Amino acid sequence: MSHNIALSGVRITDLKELADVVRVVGQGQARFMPNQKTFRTYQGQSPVCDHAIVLAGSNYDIGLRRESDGSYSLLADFTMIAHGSPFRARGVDYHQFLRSATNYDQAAAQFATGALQQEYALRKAEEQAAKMGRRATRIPGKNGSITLEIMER
Amino acid sequence: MAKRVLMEVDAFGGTKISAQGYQGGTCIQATASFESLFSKTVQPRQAVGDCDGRKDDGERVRT
Repeated sequence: MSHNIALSGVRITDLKELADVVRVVGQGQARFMPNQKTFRTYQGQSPVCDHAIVLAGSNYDIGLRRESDGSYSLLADFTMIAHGSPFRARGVDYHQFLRSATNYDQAAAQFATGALQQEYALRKAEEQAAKMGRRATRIPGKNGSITLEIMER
Repeated sequence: MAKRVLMEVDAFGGTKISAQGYQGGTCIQATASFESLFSKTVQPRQAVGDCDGRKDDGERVRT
């Protein structure tokens, strides 16, 4: 039985940016592997994907699947990687988060990739703000949130 | 035109946006441009959704 689920959270379209986020947030515990067509998952299975994020010291990877709208979904058995994921959500207690979840698999996926999605979203917003001649400042908030203040220069 | 925009990104990448001259906005996926926020006043009905992947009433604003 497959335990893999596809997570579509932040709309990921920029693989170059994603690769850098993997490098920075993963802190050496993950590598983005462009064009790797399979990812490791439950019981040694290797489902297909378009690209992959290989997790160091793990028997599980995260696959990326290109969707019809050009964005990428993240695929993995997130319940198996959530707790030790280098991209786990910051400032969130995993077990408490699971207790309040209505969908266990989706909750595990959100937690396992939280920091990755957060950093990607912030960077894309900062990039766009810069293109518009605006300055952006990150302000740490509660429960791991970060607020981007975007102002006229 | 909104002079100041606050984009709160939670620990899972979910976003909430508030802008001077506009308040509201729930889940908006940070994808491309903020032009819709900086060039015109966005009506609250234009920003709905809770990022749970299900279709919601109203139009989802893509930034």
